[in-house]
Amino acid sequence: MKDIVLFFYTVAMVWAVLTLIPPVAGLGNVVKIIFFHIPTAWVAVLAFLLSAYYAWRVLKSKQLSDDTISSRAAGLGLIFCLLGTISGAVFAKLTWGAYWNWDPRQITIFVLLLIYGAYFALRSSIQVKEVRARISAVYSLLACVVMPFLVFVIPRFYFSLHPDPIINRSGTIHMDNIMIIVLLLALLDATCIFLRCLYWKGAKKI
Amino acid sequence: MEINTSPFRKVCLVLYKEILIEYRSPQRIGVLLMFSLTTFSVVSMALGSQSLTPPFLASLLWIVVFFSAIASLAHSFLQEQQTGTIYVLRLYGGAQPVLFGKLLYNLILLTILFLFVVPLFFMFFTVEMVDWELFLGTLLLGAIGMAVLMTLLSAFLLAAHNQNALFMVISFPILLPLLLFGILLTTQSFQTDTAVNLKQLYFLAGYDVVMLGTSSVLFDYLWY
Repeated sequence: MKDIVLFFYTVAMVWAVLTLIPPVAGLGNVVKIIFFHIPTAWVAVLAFLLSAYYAWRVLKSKQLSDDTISSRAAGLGLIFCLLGTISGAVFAKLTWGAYWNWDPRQITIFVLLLIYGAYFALRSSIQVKEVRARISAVYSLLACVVMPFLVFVIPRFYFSLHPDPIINRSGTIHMDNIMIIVLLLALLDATCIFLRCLYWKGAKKI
Repeated sequence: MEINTSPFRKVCLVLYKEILIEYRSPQRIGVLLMFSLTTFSVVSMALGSQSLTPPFLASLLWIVVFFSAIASLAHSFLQEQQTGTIYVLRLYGGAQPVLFGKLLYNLILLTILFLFVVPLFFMFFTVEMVDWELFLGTLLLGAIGMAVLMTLLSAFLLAAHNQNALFMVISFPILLPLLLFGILLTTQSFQTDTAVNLKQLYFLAGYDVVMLGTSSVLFDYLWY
């Protein structure tokens, strides 16, 4: 039942983005990529934080079920992170003329990809389940400490073309009401899809 | 080691043990110095006597240092595993003394690396040094950060196979902020026209302090 509701919700979101969003001056229909890019990037960060939270629980409780969820969150995070990176690169090509120019946000998402990659490389090279759970949990937490430096500090020292987050420092919002509503609903949709996959009972153990 | 020995003395004992082992068979320091010499000479031979721009020079210096450090510091714990002494160390050495003893020893290794690499760097390439203090400060903070993180990360390898390749993969994303800012600050110390941005130096120092605290907390879970 949940899956059917989620499916129709997602179809409705695609329809809403394709028809309800008006073309924006200067960007045209390219603006529609944003409604895919922001939710995927948000879920990539959420997955990273959830993975670290379950890693902390692994260290506290030594339960292997927590490790399963932690690694599944990282796996889903990797997929969403790739989608966010690709959609961001396409948007950059269409608006600024290059797929990749080491913008601070691109550095951040690239390092996030590297961390996910390193996490799975580490997991696959350890055989004993208990040891693998403990060591990958420690790595996950270490990466979680590095992340704030990349997200908040590096953009202050490099010039960025990336627009501010929706609510920028002055607290104003540069969007129409309809766009904000669609964006928030898209964020909710992506989060629901992520959580549904994360806590899916039938999923194979990674 | 007695149980009631003070923590500081325990750290000193681990450090002394490391130095003694290196004195008996200088493996790690040999790898460190030969690796940096080889990479520098390859680049220098390929480029001849071209004059290079400051960003290029700074990147070159840090890349050589980073990869030399990876080649040598990966063995902080692996050496113990290969010789079988890791079990004794696990029995008698607590987590914190082992971490800090090894960390201090790695810091000494990196200092020796810099003492070797920096004169070599000035010999092979024509560098105009503008700000010595910034340059040395950056190298010192970079060395501390690398020693802290690589000591922690090399303990990850104890349970893994394909150890050398894995160390490169897991340490790069964690060390990237350090590397980026090291290159940025070193570039500034070669340039006359830019004002020194002390905020970036504070960033490097802050990163070192945070990572030291995190390593100390997380190492308990790796060791026991």
